[in-house]
Amino acid sequence: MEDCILEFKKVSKSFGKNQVLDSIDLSILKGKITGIIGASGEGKSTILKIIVSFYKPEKGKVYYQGKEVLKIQQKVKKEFGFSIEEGSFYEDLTVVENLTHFGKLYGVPINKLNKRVKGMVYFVGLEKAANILAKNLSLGMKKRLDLACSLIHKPSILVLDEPTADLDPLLRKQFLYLIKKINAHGTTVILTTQIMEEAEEICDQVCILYNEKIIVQGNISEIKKKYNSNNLDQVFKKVFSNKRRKTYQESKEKKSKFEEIKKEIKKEIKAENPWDILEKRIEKDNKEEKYKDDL
Amino acid sequence: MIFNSIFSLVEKDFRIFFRSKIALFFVIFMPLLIIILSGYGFGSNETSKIKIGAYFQNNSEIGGKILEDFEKNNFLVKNFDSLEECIYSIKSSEVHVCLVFESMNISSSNSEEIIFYADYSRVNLVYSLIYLIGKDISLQSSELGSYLVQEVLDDLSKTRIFILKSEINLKDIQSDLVNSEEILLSFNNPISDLDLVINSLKSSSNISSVESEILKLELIKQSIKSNSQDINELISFNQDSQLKVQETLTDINNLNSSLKSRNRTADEIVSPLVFKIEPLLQNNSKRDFLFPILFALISLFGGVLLSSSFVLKNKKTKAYFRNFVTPNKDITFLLSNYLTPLIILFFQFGLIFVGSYFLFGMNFFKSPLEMFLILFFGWSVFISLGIFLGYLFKSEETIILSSVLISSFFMFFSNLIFPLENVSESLFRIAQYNPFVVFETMIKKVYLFNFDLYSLLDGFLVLGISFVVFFFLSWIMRKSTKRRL
Repeated sequence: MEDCILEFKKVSKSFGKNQVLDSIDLSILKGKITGIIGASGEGKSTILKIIVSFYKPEKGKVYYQGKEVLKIQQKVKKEFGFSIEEGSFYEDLTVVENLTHFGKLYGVPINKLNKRVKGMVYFVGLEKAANILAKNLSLGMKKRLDLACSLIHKPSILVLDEPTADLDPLLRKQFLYLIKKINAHGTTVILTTQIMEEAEEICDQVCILYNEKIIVQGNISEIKKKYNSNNLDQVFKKVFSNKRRKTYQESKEKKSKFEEIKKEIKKEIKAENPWDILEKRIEKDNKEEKYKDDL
Repeated sequence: MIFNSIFSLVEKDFRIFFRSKIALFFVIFMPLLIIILSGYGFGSNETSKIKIGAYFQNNSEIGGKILEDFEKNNFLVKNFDSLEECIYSIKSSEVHVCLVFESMNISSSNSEEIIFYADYSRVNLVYSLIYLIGKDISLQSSELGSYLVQEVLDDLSKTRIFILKSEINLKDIQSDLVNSEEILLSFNNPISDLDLVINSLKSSSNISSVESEILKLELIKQSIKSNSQDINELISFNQDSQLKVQETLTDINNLNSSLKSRNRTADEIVSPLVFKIEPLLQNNSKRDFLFPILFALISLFGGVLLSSSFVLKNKKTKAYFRNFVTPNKDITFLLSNYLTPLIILFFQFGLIFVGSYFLFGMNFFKSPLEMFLILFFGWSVFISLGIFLGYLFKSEETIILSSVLISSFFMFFSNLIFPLENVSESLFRIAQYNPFVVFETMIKKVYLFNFDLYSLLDGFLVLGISFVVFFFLSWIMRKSTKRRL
């Protein structure tokens, strides 16, 4: 059995009356790239933020290396790197200043920090922009800076929320390459995406979120095999169509019941005076209501 | 690691802060500019801008003299024909105070009255005016009194001359009486001579005639004897009179010497006890009293607004989430929120103190330890209050508004606008613990009156407790709202 590093058990979360996650179970394998796939608003980012305790689950628990994350927050924060979709760095600091600052906050030793910062700038390809204010960087550069900020303390697990959102295809490819490179160094990666091809290209395992629940989870090749599909897109379509079929079936049943009632009424109309029929129906409804009340 | 993180957060705040040149100018140099302008503005006791309205109900020489004196002292004086006009001129800001002179006539038996009408909303100006005008009114009042008393003294002087004349007269009477006594005494000699004559007659030959004469002489003798008794009575009476006159003269002498001993000037009689309003410190300009208040105000608004806006900025930055996911405790962020504005205030006030010293020769560090500790404690209170407000509210508008309102609240319940003694007893008790009041009072005590550390312990206790309370509240607020974006 592969080594499970992070585990969600029956986790539920809602914001006010809006339920976002409903009793989800999720396992993240060590050293792998796990993709959480779902449409916008399905709760992908919420899952990631629960991992670092930014949100607390209402029900269920999250375990990191067998321990509940809420009880080992400092450890989780030290060993996790996190990059959110909109980026999280200081716009008024330069690339180097941002990396130095977060390096200090992550507790990188001062004597190693300069070297680490230089290395990270080189790693994400921002050498020429090292002394440029973050607000003056291009979108792709900002994404890379954010990634560098997440990696400055050499985390064991890298969490990326929609890392390639808003990037053009070329930048996306470059970014995915970077993620693969990071993973190749032994870092576990958890990422969210809305793009199936991207997940298929980079991830070892995926989970698909739909209607507050995980509907598919596991190794990509196994999932494809299970749903007899060539790609994840087809898998999703099949899962989705199954869901839709189920919904359609339910609505069809409701429709046929309605047709029956309609026929019955028509029959009655032919046989009797319409006013009598109406009275009878009211009487019948009243009886039914009374019966329900008695119950 | 915690110190590295704190210093990194503070360093980051400063880097961002110094990148905005306009913000830097306003935060660092504006307070210095305020101090310089106020220093030059309030360095003298200028009165030429104070306008006085006057209305006379009757013609008054004294009132006119008072106004003349005001004009000599550079007050602007304007006369009005009616009380209504005079009062309206205050409402329209034409004059600052209206003086109404009622029955200003020395010969009049009515009491003399000067009524002040002033806009009480400008209470500080009113107090200043009353103080300035009060000195002149007091002078005029003294002059008037002196004039009246001088008259009384002149009368007394005349009385003394009269008494001196009477004394001379009485002395003359006394000498006359002595003479008359001598004359009266001389009456006894003829009677003795008459006895001798009678004896010689007895020895004469013509007896019958002699006897008759003797009888007559006897009769005369009897008569003279009886007269002599009367004269003796008169002499005795005269002696009594002399004694009485002597007594009277002695009394007059005593009275005269008593009047001589009371030979004082009119001023001494009018003002036997001299009341003077003297400032606690000599040779101090308004600046010396103004600056401690200005320092307290800049500290209050600077501390609260700077810290709340730093918290706000940190909450609204894109990096907030990354700060959250770094392995740092809440106290690290709180301390950085506290240290950044504290350093800015130190820098700000460093410039202000240097400026005050070189431009106006004002040394605020005559007692360096006391002053340093007061500033440190005061700023800590205001900064922690600002941090608390920054975490308490969510939107920028409410944070800024609440910071301004709370600072204004502290300011209103201080001696800045109305004396605290004017508020109700219960509120007064609470307002005494207002950190702004305590802070301002402590600066004054150290700068103006050189209080030592021991005498300031109560103030330090109030500021220390306020700091701990606000910092603790900030910590609670951060803990409970850090996930609320």
